[in-house]
Amino acid sequence: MGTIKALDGNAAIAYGVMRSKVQLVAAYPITPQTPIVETISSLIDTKQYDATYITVESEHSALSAVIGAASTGVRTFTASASHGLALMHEVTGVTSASRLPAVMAVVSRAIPGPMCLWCDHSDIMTQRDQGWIQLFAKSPQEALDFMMIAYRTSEDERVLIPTMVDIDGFFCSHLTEPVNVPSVEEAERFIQDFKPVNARLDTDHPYAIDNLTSPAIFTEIKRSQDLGMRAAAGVLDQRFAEFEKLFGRGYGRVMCDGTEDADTVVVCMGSMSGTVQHVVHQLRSDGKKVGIARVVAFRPFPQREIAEALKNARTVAVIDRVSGMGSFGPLYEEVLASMRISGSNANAYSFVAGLGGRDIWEQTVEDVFTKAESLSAENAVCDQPIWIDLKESEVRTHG
Amino acid sequence: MAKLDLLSKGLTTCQGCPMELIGRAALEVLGPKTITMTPPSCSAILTGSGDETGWGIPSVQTVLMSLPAFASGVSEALKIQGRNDVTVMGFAGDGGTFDIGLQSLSGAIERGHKAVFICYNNEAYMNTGNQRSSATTLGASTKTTPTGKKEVSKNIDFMLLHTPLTYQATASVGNIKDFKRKLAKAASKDGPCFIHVLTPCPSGWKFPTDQTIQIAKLAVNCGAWLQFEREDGKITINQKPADFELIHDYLNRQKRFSRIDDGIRARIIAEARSRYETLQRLAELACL
Amino acid sequence: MQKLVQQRMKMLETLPEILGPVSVKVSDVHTGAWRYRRPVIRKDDCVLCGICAEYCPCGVIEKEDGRMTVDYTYCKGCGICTVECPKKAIDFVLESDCEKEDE
Repeated sequence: MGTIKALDGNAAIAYGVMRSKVQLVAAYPITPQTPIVETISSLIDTKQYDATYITVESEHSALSAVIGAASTGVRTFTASASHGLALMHEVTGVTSASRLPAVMAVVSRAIPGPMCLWCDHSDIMTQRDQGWIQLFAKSPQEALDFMMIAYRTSEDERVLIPTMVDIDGFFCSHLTEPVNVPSVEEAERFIQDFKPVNARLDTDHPYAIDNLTSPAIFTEIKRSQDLGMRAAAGVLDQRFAEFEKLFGRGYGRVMCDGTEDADTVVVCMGSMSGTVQHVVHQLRSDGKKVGIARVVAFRPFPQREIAEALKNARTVAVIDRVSGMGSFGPLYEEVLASMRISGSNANAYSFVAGLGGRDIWEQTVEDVFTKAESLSAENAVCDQPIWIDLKESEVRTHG
Repeated sequence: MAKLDLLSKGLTTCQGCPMELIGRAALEVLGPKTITMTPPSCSAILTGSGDETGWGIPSVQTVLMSLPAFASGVSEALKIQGRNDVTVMGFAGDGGTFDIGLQSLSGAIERGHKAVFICYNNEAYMNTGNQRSSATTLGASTKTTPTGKKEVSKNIDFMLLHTPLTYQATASVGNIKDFKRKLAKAASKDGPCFIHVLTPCPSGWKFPTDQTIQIAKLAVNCGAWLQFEREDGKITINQKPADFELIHDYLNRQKRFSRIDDGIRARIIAEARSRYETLQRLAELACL
Repeated sequence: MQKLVQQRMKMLETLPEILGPVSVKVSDVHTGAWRYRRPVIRKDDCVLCGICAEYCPCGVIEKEDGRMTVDYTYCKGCGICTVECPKKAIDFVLESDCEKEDE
């Protein structure tokens, strides 16, 4: 089934857009997402792909055009990163509150400053409370597959919440791997033409959307949005199962390896998951009881699934690819809150790694395991994250 | 046949509001097959709040910065759906057009989407209570320029002369027939159109509510507002200013100019003259 | 009741439930209550040119049964019609001088 092509993460996203029968794309170039813009617009321009591409003059306009089109009843896509995603911030909230099932690829790149081209999750984490489903792919194959799954989930009438599919800048966006690309016919078995089900600008049914909303109803609109987001958990599970049946590639909102009997579990997201999993396999072959719980769906956050995955662990190490300035990383906080569900008393430690494109090597992951286990042996309590691979001598302070 | 009502009568715009009048006149021309966007502004009062809306057509309150981009998306989506019978109407004030929305407008114009962008110019941020915008006339006092604005207004019409608008026009609420004619022309075009309408605001400019139309007419007569249109590379001046000295009368009738001295008056008149002279020269060309 | 309100009530019968911030009802504030002076058209002087209706911001002046009528439920009393009428056939009368039964 499908055709094997050598694709990087950005190209895989472009195929995901085409196979999802997206009708309108509006996006603005920004490193490391630019090849998505180039690929899709070129395919449309050379009539290899029948869709409309709006060459907007900013990311803010990109998402604005997308929600304009989505409100008029077509399937839409945009992509961005870092500065661009920050510029979209105002509109991401409007998209989700309007219950428009748009899908966006985020090619994660550190948010300034300092100015940086390389990967971390500080861009997408600014969006965590904007009401979008957030899926973290670790490879080009997942990037393609998650695009199709994203549309089927966002557009489900129980959900009607937009989705961000996140890939790590350069680590995934520019990594070429063999990718199984479904044929048009195969893809159609999973995703069909768009049928809008919610708010539309329709001259036969004239009403206004996105108006000033008073305290009398604002809370209820947000709760309805929250329920849509929560419904997405079950719908995602259904879509993953359906996808696996058709294409043979299985996914989950949390993907675990070794957690059943592991004493120490690392929780992580995105491209580093591959390295962590590799280290887990190595350590297990040395007889160490370690595991990985990889969060695929950061929103809606899989509290119960994470609680289940960590219930037997004595030590939990959470790696955030964002600094959590002045507190802990966001993934750590979510994991800690989830562990309360199972009543777990495991020692949990927060690690900050891989900022601004710094590599997360096997050694980095081994250091995380070692550090977490030694702290846990003493039942140590940490009041701040452990910055791993930090060049202490380069950290400057006054006083 | 009973006339369709497309804008409610019971709207909470100020007494004598010219923006509402422009909205009403626009719908008389465009009819029910129109989708409109308003940014947060006075025109958002037409779009409504809570579960109520004033429009009898589909409408959106967009974010202030990117109404034209939203309109681009709507316009292209309609094209995808084969809907050639629907007009996309952007309805923004001077803040959403001259200032925060300018980039988005320039992008939408350059890309050539079929849409009509109406700018009702009341020369300040009126919905937030009268703060100066780049459209505010030199010398006018606003809440952020209590002693009078120090700069001349941005000449957005001249700026847009160099963009690929299919049709561009200025209009005045003082001449509704002319506005309607221009809007009908814009709606018939298959590309981006811009209509810039002078809408004197009784609340912000501080004149009696029954004088809205008179002030708008006087603005045209005295040359403070120029009436022209651009089509097929050619500018047509619709009405010649009668006498620039009438600007004194125009200024005297608005309390927002009560503090200006003779020097500012002279500069306002000189600016109006120079804009008209430039326009006359531009009208002799056929290359815009 | 305004025609627009009637139209919308009819549409509501067939409108499916919509999620998110939508405004379906018609803004229908009885802004006539703001008015302290009202325009009164002298029928004998009116030439039915319609300029008052053309320049009424609120759209409350209409030609009905061969005369111009003002909908006082909504007329805010801005006075534009009294100034624009070419025949000066519209008086601007203090509300306190009018009979309340007109409301």
